[in-house]
Amino acid sequence: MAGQRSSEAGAATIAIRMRYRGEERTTELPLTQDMIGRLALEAAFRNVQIGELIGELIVGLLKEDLLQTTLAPKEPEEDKMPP
Amino acid sequence: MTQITELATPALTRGRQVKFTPERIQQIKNLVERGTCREEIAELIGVTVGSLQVTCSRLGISLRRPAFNKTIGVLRRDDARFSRVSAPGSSASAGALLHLTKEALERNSRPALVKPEAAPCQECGNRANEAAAASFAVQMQYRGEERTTELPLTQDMIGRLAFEAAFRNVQIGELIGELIVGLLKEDRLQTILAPKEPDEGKMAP
Repeated sequence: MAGQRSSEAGAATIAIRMRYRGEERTTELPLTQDMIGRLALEAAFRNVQIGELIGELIVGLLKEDLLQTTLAPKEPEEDKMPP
Repeated sequence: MTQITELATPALTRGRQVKFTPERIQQIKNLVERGTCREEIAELIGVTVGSLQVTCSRLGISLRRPAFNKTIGVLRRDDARFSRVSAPGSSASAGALLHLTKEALERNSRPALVKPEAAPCQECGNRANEAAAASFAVQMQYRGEERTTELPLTQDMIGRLAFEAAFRNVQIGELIGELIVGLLKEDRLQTILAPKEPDEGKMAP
């Protein structure tokens, strides 16, 4: 059982690795196993790897300029003043 | 932590035509060292850029082109102790983006060294693998194995992510995490991956 994580047996983790001028940093994505499962399913149906799917998602978000709506879906300042 | 190096040679011979022979892989490494961009390498090798990226990522070969300090005009190996950003060959705003990206990266964790080398190549300008540019990859771990897939982000995209992260006081990695979680929670995968569904067509009366 050496290859398995002690906390969650057989659990997958996904992280973003960044390289810049010789340095490498990794940040783990806060994905639940359910989320990872959904990504895996989506990737399988599209015949791509999960990493490629995540790449497509990020590129899609950027190309369609959906960062704001995804990060802050319901803006509180849309509140209307009471009459 | 196990890099899947066994894909390097014989495993790829299964079934399909062998494109990534050890000779080819060495050729790729040489081309990268000479500063050839990934599009050119893919063309030379006769594979798609995606396939090249995936294979190199699996083999732990960096397709990043070597750093070239144009302000000094000499080649130098990067060192983690050097934190200066010289914004090679680009506009001031691009330099600012690089600086921002670097700042955001510095707030992240787990430093490790990689070693860029040699010279430039002029075309394919706006890919993330420019000299001194940042590159992003998705790293997955499952049952002791690790796979890495590079994200096809351009400098512009990385800059936008860096700005967004800076304004929200989060790391770029965290921002990407929030984006993915947000998409999953709102069940918007389909809309992003296939924004304009052609099969939305109404049934003919």
